[in-house]
Amino acid sequence: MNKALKNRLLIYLCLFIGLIIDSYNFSNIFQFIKPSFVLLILIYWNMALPDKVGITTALLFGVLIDLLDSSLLGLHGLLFVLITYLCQRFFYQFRITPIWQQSFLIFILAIIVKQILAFDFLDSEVNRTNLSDNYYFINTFYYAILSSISWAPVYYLCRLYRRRWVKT
Amino acid sequence: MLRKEHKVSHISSEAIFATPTMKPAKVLLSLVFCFLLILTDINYKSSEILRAYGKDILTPVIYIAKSPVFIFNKVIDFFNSRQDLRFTINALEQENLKLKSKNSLMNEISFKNRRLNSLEESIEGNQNNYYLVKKKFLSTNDLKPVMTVGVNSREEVFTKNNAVLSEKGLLGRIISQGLLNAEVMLVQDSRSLVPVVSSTSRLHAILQGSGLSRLGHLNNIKKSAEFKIGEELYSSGLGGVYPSGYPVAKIKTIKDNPDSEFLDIQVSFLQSPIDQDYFLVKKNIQTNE
Repeated sequence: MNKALKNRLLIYLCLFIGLIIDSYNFSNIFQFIKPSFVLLILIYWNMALPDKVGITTALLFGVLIDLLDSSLLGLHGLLFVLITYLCQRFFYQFRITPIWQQSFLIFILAIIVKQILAFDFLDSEVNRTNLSDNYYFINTFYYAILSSISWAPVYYLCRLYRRRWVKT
Repeated sequence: MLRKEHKVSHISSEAIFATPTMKPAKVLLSLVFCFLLILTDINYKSSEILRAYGKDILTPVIYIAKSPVFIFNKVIDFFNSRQDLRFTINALEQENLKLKSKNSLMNEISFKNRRLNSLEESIEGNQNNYYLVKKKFLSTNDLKPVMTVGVNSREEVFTKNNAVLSEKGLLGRIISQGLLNAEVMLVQDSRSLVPVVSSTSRLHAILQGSGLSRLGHLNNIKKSAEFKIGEELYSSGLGGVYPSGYPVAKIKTIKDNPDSEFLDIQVSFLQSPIDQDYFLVKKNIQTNE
């Protein structure tokens, strides 16, 4: 098989594993604060091999998350495309920072993502543009904390996977 | 060598530093595409048609996600049963342990049966109009909670807008249906509007959700209305979407703000989909026949 195609398939497989983890349903409050592994893995591949991951990948997995999570069609796609662009634009800076600083950036990014998801696009509340409340913000905070904690294992596991399987 | 690759990529082991970033025009095009998707969904509800079928495609992913837990439980069961067998051969005390574990399993089954019975007891009239469905996935956004339930296409003939009931009352309605899955918009959803009637004062109102684990509110209630705290709210059936007579919520607080022309009435919902797995779908006779 063509090496470029094989690498692309391996990256897609990695993202697909993230999708499988994200589709697990928890029967408690953890369901609303669990980190998005597809997003973390997408950020990793954008940082590690930006020439192998592009807009199409971000868009495809964004729409799949939209379908899975029943959110507005295209919303996750939009977020993933923007994040992909930012990651690729600044990956020189991002990949040389220590892992704890990367985790902090993930924390900030996760808060922004979760707050964008609370926008009232369908105008269900007359006087508000964002449905977020105190409770939602606490959940956002936990989500961001969990995402930043998950970043280090995701980073090292994906790196192991890349060094073992993805030959550039 | 590809045209866009730099010579450095062949010199340095870190080929990555020679990679150009993606073109802004391509990003803009993708963003425009995403905005188009969003606008189509907002204005024409395109996702209501597509989403359940999309979930049908994603069903294997959900099953794969569940499989490690399933396998883990099976392995644990296997080793437990082996251990139990060894214990039963060795001593009677271990037999007792095994019986206890069986007993706890029976308790679990009887608990599930009790819940299913109470679900069945909540059925009124013709039982053929109700279908039992199992929860598959609950969306991670608690402000707009959407639950995915499994559909057996051979038996179940419910359609969009059919009410979904839990053992404690009305839970939501079907907004999208595919071959294997259906999506349920919960009454706690901020987009959900349920016509209700109060249990004692018999006043009508529109109940709107604010998200899971949050208080809902009654819309545009005049200050002269005499709702009482603790009063239960039942679906009134007005509008023909939700069936009448099912408990939905209970009035928690009533505030009379001087700067508002309406009462601020907050209600707590009686049911939650978080810790429940089975629900009933009531076939809407008006829409299905």
